[in-house]
Amino acid sequence: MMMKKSLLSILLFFTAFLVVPAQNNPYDIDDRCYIYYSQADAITGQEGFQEAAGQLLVTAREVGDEKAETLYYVLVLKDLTRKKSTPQNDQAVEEAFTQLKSFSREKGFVQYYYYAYQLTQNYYFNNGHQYKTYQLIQEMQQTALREEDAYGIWTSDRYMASLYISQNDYVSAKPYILQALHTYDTTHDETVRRQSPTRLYCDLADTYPMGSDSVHINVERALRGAKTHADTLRCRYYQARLAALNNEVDRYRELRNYCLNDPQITQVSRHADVYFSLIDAVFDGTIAEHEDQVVGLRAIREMKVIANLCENQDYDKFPTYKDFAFNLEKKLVQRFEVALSNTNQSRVSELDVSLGKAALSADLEHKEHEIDRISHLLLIVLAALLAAVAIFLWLHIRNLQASNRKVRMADAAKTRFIQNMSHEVRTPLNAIVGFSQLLSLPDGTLESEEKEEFSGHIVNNTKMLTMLLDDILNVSAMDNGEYSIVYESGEINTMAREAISSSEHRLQPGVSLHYNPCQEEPYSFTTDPRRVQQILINLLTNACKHTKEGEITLASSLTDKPGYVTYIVTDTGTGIPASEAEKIFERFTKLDEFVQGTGLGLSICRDIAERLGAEVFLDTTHQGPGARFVFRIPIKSPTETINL
Amino acid sequence: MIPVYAQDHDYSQYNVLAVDDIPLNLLLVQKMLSRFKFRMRTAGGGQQALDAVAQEKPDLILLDLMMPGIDGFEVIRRLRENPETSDIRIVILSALNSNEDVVKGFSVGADDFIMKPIIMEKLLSCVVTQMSIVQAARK
Repeated sequence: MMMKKSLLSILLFFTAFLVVPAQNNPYDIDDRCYIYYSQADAITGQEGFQEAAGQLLVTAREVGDEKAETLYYVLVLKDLTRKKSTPQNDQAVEEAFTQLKSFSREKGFVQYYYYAYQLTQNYYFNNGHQYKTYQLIQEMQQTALREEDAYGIWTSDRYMASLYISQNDYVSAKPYILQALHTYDTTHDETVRRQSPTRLYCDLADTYPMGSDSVHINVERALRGAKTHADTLRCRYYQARLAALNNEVDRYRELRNYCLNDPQITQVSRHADVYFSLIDAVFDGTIAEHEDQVVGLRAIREMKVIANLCENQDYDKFPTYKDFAFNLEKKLVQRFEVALSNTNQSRVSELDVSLGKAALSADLEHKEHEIDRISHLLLIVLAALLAAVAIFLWLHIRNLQASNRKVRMADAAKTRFIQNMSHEVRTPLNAIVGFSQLLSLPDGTLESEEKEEFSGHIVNNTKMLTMLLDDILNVSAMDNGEYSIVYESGEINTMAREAISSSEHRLQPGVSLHYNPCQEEPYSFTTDPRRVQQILINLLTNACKHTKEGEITLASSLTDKPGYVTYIVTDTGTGIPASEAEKIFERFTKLDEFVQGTGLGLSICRDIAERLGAEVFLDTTHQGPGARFVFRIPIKSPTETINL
Repeated sequence: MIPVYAQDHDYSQYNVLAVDDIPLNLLLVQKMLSRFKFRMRTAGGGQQALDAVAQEKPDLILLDLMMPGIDGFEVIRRLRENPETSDIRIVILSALNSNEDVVKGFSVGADDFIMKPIIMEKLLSCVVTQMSIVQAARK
């Protein structure tokens, strides 16, 4: 506790230059405001502060003095930081800290922005929150470096040094002291230049081995840089110590008296009297009686001074000093280790507390919330993934089923085709084989008319078998891409009449076949005449198969659809339902399975028509009886076909 | 051995019914059997065949299987069901040639099975065999 209070005084000493009120309104604010400021400042941390500060705020706003208003926020923070740390006060300090920072920055009084840090750091440091202090200093330093604010940089280095010195860690403190001194030496910032480097030089002296030249040099520098009486006093205090270490007893006593007679010595060291009395005891040879006091000294550095002093004495004169010094050194090392360990422990525990109690619980809550959210999200993602997988599998299975169905359908179609082909081939074959056998009977068995009739049956059925084989070969050629279209000139009537003559033998008894030409004059156009005839023959054969009575008509037209030659095959047969208009063009499709045929004829017609750029379809608008097929071929100019 | 087609058989006392939806096939069978002097009738489908049997019971039926309407299998089934007609000798003449079809033919009650294209010698031998059974039954 003693240590903390001392440090508070040390830090306050530093900040004094910035805000210590002066008689002649050093802040250059409204005079009335200054009076209220001084009154409130004098009772910070005490009863009645809020009323006094309230008057400052009201007046500052009345007269529109923004700096005075900034000082009001300074006082509010100062008041709070004088109080003891409680969760409520910590909260209030944080709010006042934030308010001062934002207000000072907004109004352009940046020095108070950093002062807000200083006050808050002091508060936390004095209340044992070293880690929080450390964090604040770092934050201040980062801001200062970012803004290249010399005062901020200098202050943060100085605070960092003080923090390490308070932990007896001079090694870590040294770079910050040097950096602060460098800033002080090189800056043109007036706020910094107004500060005193004395404390820094004194601290720097403490980082060197006791009694070394560097110590002397730095204490000298401290003295040169002194700007106040307190600075000078501090230097004298250091000089007294140096004189003692050099065994200059008279000079020591002179300096000691100088210090102790000055009431401000408590600002330099609260326990200067104890310290000097212990040094005196060394010289008197009574130090062993005060061992407890030596060990109880605040700064390990001061204990070290006593140990050194003992070592420097004449052992003949003080024979016990050698052992005393040795024991002191041992205790010193132990204390140092304990201090170091305590510091670390306090940092760790503070870290635990600061993170563990407030932040951790909030963080935990936040994390739990986050985990909940992520869990939900994951569940949704998982569900979506599962759904996607299910859909994928379903689609895949459906595709497989469809493929399977297609394969089975293809297989069934193949089986049907083979069975059908077997029947279709065997029927004409039966006639050919059967009548051939009859013809081969010994002479005299058959009449000549019979022979002629049987030969006719053989020829007709051979033609039928040939057509059937042609159909199969055509389909196979088309599937293998070996079906060629040869463009040449075709005459509309010639192609029709040749198709009729090739189909007439398929007519059933009592059925007639006519051709109605659009014109008798020859009309030629570029196409593949052989393929056109093949389609016409297929259409006519189809009509013959299904027409048991009546007539079949093939008509041609140049006007049915301009730019096309149109052939129309109309019969008076069984007819085809409109719903089957497309199905009949599929392969192996036979509406009546007892009508002879492969079920390939119409599908071949459509395949060839597509290759000719033509179209063939069932005219579903045809009013029965019978069916009407339309075959349209585009009329190409000879040049068009060259590129085909 | 004299070929069957050259053997002299007089079956003029016997009644044969040939059934096929393709007229040319009926003509062929008629021509092939002409030497045996059967009383030959023809029917163009299953229903016509049943009608012809009802009109006059034949001794032998030469029956196609694939016909529109009532097919050959159904004709046999119906004839075998009826005690009046169950003893008619029936020979299938069909382009259906799978083992399943042959087995199905016998299972419904056919007495023999001849595949198309018809080999004349085979048909005549078969007919002679069937007629010998018919003749034996008459005695």
